[in-house]
Amino acid sequence: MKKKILIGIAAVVVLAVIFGVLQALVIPKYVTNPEGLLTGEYYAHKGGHDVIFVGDCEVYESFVPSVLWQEYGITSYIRGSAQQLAWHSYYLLKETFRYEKPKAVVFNVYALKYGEPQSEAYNRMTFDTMKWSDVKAAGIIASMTEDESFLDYVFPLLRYHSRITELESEDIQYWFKSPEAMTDNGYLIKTGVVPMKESDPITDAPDELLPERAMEYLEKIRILCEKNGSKLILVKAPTNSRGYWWYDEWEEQIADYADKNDVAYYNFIPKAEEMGIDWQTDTYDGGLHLNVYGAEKFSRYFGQILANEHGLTSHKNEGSIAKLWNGYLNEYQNKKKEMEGNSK
Amino acid sequence: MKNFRRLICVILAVACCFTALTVLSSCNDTENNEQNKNESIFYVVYNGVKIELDKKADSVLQKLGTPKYEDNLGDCGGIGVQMKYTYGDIAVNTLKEEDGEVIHKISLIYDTVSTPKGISIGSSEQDVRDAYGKPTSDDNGKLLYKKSDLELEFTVKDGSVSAVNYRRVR
Repeated sequence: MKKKILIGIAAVVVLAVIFGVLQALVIPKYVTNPEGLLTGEYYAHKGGHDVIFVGDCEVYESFVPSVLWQEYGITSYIRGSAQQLAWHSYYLLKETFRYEKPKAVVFNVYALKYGEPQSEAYNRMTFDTMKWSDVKAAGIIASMTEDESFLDYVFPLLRYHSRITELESEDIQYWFKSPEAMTDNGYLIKTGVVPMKESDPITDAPDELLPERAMEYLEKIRILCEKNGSKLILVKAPTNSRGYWWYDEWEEQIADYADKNDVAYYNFIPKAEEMGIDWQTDTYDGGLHLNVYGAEKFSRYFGQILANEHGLTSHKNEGSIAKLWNGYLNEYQNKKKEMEGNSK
Repeated sequence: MKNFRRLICVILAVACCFTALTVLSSCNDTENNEQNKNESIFYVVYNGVKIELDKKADSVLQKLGTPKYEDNLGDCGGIGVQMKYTYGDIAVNTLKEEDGEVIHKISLIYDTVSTPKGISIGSSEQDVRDAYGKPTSDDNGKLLYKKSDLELEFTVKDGSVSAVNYRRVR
């Protein structure tokens, strides 16, 4: 009897190991597509930031933490992810508050145009590398499309088993190890230059105002920040292409919300020229997003606002913080040079 | 030795189950796709051209001719470059996937275009329900008709349709 029990236990252990090994093999490694790694990179840097940014590519391709440090001595991290929706932002922020209480949280409002889940792929990119907790579980449940299953997140092998016939070299290379960090404190460097073409502005009204579900999560974010002693700052990045148009009706809605709730809101679209953005040189995709040259200009401009209007002070004279962040700055500058060299 | 053989048998049995699961999963996907193809409401006919969700875009875009606007929406998250083609009263969004450009969103912009069941911007909510039956969900002024990962959504404001969007959510 004892032998049978031992055999049973041994079988379960062996199966669990096989299951785990197979799972580690088939889950996407996001190396050629680093936007899937953004969430997980935070844990190596968690804690001690003045500012936490949350949002989609308008955040993680617009703000450069190393520039905020270099110019103003402000420490920051970007908890961004591809097409991060309002509920994604809420749960990422809720998790972040378990590690730190930043002085300010910056949220980009464009994502509020989405009132329902857009794609399993974007849910996965936000949650796959998030550490397991009740917050992650709640976030997944709030975000899943109808065809998704919570169990597939708990046991990714159930979802990705078909990848066994589609494995790539990065699946083997990173089978048992994590890829190297791809970002500068959450900022994804883009050195390419593709000028924006002239196009007509959109004059029609949007299909609808910013949806109720998104606005509910904005309110949850506001209350969460309040409870954790962080100042919420709303922003609209300076990009405004036809594909991702920021309508006047939405602008009015956000400005009204900010005014009623005493929340700072900055729309940087009309400030693009003032901050020196040149749409012929400062975008890597025809004006949809800023490249590093545009992001550095925007960060210098925004950093001044953080310092002068929101009381964020410099840590440049604080020994250990300065040493750490000068190290990050050095890494950022080296990475930028390397990418510039590769793109020639 | 006997116990070791038993252990190997159990492990092999599980490995077979895993393989069966993989095969069954891909069979189910094929079955579902076939079923949905026969019952599709997820298309619109514009200027004599059938524009259907989750179908290849090349021949459709060729038949529709030069769009009024062609906007590159970029590649968000590495899932493929998205394009938006606006033809005046209809917009077609595509996603460049591995095997070609696929239609993943259709938006009716003006009341000059109707769905195959005669619903357009300005139709009443009752017209929608009469044409399409009970929606999959009815929430916050949105009547959603869904089959697998394909959606047809009517936004209703003050009793009338204010937006019609077809969407593939994957």
